Amino acid sequence: MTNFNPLRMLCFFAVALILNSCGGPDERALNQPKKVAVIVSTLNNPWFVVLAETAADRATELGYVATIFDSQNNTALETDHFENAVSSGYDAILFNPTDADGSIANVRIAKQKGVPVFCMDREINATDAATSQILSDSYAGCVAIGKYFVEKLNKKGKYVEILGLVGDNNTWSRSKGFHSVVDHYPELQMVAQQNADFDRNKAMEVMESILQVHPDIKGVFCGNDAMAMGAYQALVSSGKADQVMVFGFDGASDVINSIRDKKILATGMQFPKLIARTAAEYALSYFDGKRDFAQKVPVTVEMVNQENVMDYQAYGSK
Amino acid sequence: MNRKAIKYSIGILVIGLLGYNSVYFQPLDKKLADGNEISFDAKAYVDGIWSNELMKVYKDAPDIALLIDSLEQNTVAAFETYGYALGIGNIGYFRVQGEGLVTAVNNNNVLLQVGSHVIEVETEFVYGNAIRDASGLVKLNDYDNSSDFNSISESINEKIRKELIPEFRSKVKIGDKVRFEGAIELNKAHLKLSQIEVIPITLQITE
Repeated sequence: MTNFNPLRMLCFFAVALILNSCGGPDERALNQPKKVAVIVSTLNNPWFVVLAETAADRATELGYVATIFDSQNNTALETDHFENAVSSGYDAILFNPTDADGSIANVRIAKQKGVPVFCMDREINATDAATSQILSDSYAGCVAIGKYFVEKLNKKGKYVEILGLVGDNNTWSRSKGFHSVVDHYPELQMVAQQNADFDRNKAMEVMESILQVHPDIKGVFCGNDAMAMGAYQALVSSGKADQVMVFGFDGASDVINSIRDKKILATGMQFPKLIARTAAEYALSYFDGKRDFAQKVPVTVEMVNQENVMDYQAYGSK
Repeated sequence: MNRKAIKYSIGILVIGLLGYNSVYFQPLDKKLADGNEISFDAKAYVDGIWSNELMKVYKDAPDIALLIDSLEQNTVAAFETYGYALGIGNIGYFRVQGEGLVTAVNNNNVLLQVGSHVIEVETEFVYGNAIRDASGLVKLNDYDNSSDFNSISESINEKIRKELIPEFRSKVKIGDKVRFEGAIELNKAHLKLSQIEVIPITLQITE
């Protein structure tokens, strides 16, 4: 009893409280799972849904808490997601950009706060912002499609190109790969080149307008599969589905089924699941201390056509 | 009245001039060309590496018949030993050389019998990255701009299409013996060795 001193007890609790408040957060941070944000350009296209969900699933498998953010193809909304992710304490961002130039500032927001960003499928026009960029080799994939296009059209005829988003590098990489072959054949005449923002409905409208002016086209090359399906729909409506060959790019399920049904000629198979899993695993390596990532990691694209479609399934190989 | 008309005319002219000079229309393919202006001189780069580097690595290419045997025996090991790939995926590029007897001269290719294998030497669709990537000489991450990197393949292919193919096609006929060096593209998940397509970098009719 004589040893009890209320002042000493008060001091003891005060010191204990201070020590607890100093060591607490780190301890909590160590005990809590890492948080990974998956920021994706749009969830209005099944291909990006597969990309986002696979990234989130793989991150969860690796023991992280993963949240998907939809930028709705809007760079300003993407900025909000980045600011939110950084202020909410996310440890890494698996990122599918809306715009090759416009998204750079968003990646820098994360970089300034020491949050690594791994780009998936779409490139940003900076090599000092993202930790790594895992990108489909769209150019090479479209070179293969260009060769097949020339063969199937027998090196002559009028054709149309439907482009994706003008601000996305993939749009131009695909177009350039395709034209690097097709432009060597002067009897192949491109009568229209219009953008439809990778959107199925827009592509259908664009194709309907083009068909009114150019009813005698033989082929249409689309920068993604959603637009290929839209273009095909317009051709069906105008009764020209059998005379116009449609080529897409992505390897989405409806186009793979349409190639099997001999409605669409070919597509470039990208591997969104492989890209997404690789990005999540790169985040793991980063948390483990790795820093020497290659800035650009290309993922090969394989052409799927009516001759080899049995070897493939939507979004990947069998 | 006349002064008012002149005043209005001048006003309309000024607005018209301003409007005409503030808006312009440009075809998308022109925009494509502008958006990807290439300052890197791929042709000069390719000319610079052609003799001393590129041809040199192809001189040491594995024999195509031996490579096919290796691929048949152990695909994974052959891809690791002889193949080049830029990144992730099933596609690998291989340097090859060999000699065979011409069995067909088609519109787009020439068929060679090399031992028990039929080899298709591509003479029409010389496009893509096979020669560049199989060489192992050019790395993607050495280039900030992917267009520069892709333009290297375009220059290599153009040189082959212009300087190698026309002369070869003008002379080759069934029964000739042809020596070749070149590159092939293979898919390890869907390996097809029945009629391999070679993108040539050298072609020589030996007999």
